[in-house]
Amino acid sequence: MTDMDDKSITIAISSIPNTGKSTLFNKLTGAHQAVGNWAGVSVEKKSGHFRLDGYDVTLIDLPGAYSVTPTSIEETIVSNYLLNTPPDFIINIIDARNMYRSLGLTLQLAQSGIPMVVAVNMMDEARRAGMKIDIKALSNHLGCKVVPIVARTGEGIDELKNAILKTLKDPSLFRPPNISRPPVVENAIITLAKKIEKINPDPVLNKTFIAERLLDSGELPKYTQVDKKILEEIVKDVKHLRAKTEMNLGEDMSVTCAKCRFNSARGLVNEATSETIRVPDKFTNALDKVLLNKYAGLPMFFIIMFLLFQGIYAIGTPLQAIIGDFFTLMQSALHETVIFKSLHPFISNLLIDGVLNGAGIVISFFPLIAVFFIFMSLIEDSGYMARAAFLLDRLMHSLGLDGKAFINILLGYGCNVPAIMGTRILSSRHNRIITMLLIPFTLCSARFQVFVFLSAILFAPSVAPWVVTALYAVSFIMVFAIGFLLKLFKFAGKPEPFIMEIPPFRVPTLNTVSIRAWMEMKSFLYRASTFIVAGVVLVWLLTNLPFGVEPGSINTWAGKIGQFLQPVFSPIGIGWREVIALIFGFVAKEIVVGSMAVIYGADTATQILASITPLKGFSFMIFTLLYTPCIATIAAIKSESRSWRITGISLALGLIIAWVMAFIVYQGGLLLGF
Amino acid sequence: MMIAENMECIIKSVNDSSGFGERLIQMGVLPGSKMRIVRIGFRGSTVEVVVDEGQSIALRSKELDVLDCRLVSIPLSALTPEQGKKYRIKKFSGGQGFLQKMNDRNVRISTIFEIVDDHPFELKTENGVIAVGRGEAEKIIVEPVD
Ligand SMILES: Nc1nc2c(ncn2[C@@H]2O[C@H](COP(=O)(O)OP(=O)(O)OP(=O)(O)O)[C@@H](O)[C@H]2O)c(=O)[nH]1
Ligand SMILES: [Mg+2]
Repeated sequence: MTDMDDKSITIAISSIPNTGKSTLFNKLTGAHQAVGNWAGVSVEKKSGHFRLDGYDVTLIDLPGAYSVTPTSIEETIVSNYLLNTPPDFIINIIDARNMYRSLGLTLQLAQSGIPMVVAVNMMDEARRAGMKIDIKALSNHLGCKVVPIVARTGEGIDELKNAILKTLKDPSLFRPPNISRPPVVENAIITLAKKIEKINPDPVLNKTFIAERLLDSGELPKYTQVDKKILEEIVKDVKHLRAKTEMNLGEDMSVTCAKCRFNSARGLVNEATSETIRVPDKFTNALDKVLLNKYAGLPMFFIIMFLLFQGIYAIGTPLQAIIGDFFTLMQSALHETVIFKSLHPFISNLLIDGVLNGAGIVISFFPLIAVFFIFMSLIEDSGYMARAAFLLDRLMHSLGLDGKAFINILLGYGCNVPAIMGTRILSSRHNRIITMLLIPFTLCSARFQVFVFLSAILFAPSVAPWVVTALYAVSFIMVFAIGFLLKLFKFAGKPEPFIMEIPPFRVPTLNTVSIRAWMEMKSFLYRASTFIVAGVVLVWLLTNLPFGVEPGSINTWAGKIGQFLQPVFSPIGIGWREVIALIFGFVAKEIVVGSMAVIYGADTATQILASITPLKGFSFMIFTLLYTPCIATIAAIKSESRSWRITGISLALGLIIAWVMAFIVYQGGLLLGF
Repeated sequence: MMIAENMECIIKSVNDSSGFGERLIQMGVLPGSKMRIVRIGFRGSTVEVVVDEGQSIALRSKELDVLDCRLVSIPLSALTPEQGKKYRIKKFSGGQGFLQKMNDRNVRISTIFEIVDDHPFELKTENGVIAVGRGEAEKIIVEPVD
């Protein structure tokens, strides 16, 4: 069979958060979407492809949502997608150990009229807890095929594919389930459904479903092709009917609708499961007693973070040294080869001392980054993320933010870009903006490389890791200090309602951890081989041109630029060479390391040691820690805030605070006689 | 709303049309749901509750105020003396030794009492006053009698 004969269809995976959507998506498409054990890992809709016996399937991985009535941005993405551009088919996932909560959305989706199959995921955990699920009963009540699966291992995936195929071929296998509602509501829905039937704006969605949506949320979908007058009339009807039923039942319409759904859900759970099991399980309970302990919990968080850092450092730096040495050897060997000797010295130096030296030093950080993200994904996939959020909620609250915003800040320590996108899980725009302004002060993995590099040169081996630890502490304190500062200037978050799911602890799988680490390494290598090399070459040219001047001297173009900016940077102890590195650091922090290597030429370490004192070096690191992380971060802030003003504030805030802090450190250090 | 670790209550109504109530409702935490407070974080602002269907969620104690709840059970240690307020012992959450000790002192399931003093606890029952230590009070789960 060829692709041409295949019918193309779109299938969306939709369920409440943290049920294994992305895990299933990866299994079906072979993609590498981020998976993690907390609610709100995916905040964007992502698509992938797979073939299904005669169908070319575009699979959509949606963010988690509790219902099609959205309460946050990620949920808005889901409801907009499902209601305005309905897919051909839906895979809904139920968490086997948490069926009641999952079924609220399942029942809503089942009524939409879009063909659907339901996957009951986490069957491994359910079995371990001794839970039995009557799949037949579920299937009968939901009016669609139901398949037990373990998305992690791939168990049941073939059956799931089969069920999808069967339902596609025989739509009669799918019928919307009945939900019992109070008569007033039922009547209101019927009345509305009739009106909607008449204008028939939507061939896919069930009219009853649209009618209930209208009553529930009061919002009418954007039907551009329908006459405005008729729409206005319907809106008026909806208002009237809502008021009438709310009066009659004495409660909010959304409460009534949710009650109907969840009452059905409760009945279904009672019928389909042998016994109610205790979620959280014993393992989770025992761990939480320690990790969330009222007094020990917070100190333990810092200890865990510290141990992680020590682990990364202890495993990563020796590996880095090996690769670094390899590049140094290669450089001196290449200088001696016939080919390079025959080249013009300008070209051979550019290639060896520029490209190879600069990019080589950046690439030597490869193992460190790998270890870093392996550890990071252990935190993300175990379920500790939500615990950290719980512990830090109190502190975040004093900034007007909450524990969920802390998850984003913690993600920033890996990379700022996904962290900024992750703020979509926050419910108010205001809090998103504040969190977005704070994330750039986290010590991301690229900055980490600069600090490992410089502290290893400037400080004794026993002191160097402590210098980096101190920078982590500074970063953490600065995030909160700047949070308070913003609050002082009335920029604080409005205290928002805080609701956060705490997932059970799970043992991270080798698969998710290695996928996560691999994806990060791939993007690191991509950056290293493209614009980091480009940046390094540019820096080399600047420090070697115009022709005739002594390379790396004050007479080069780089020297001129540095000199021009000298008045700004000399009060903070940063020389013209480092200024060049900082300028290119705007593009990406890894370039700072590469540029230093290029600027100081062969035998970088000795050269740096000769011209930078430890105090100057520390001031430089403080500046690097606090000013704009990279272009990608700025772009993320712009696209997430949709405001140039906020982007500008973020840039200015970083530069000013970086300068002020470096000034305090440098001048203070001088006074103290360092 | 008074809160204490290991307290259980049933939600009567959600008096709130702000984001908080709306989100809880969409998550299936509705009037009629039972809720247990699992732990109260440092300095009491963040709490972890388990709703009867098993999901664990973190909330702020202040926000629980918008929920109108009926107390179902609470550890004795969380209570203070109040004239005329009667409680019934619902269960003990201790081991065999503890049960024996309570039995020996005539503290039994279904005993109805009024709190006279809370350090140490003195409970007035039909058969006289019983003294209970603070540690013991944490393991005695009671319910209000109305
Ligand atoms: N035990 C077990 N864990 C699973 C299974 N499927 C997924 N998980 C875990 O469940 C957690 C959530 O998985 P995700 O795929 O990120 O869930 P999601 O639905 O995409 O989550 P959001 O994007 O946050 O809505 C991860 O820790 C997974 O490793 C399964 O079949 N069994
Ligand atoms: Mg996901």
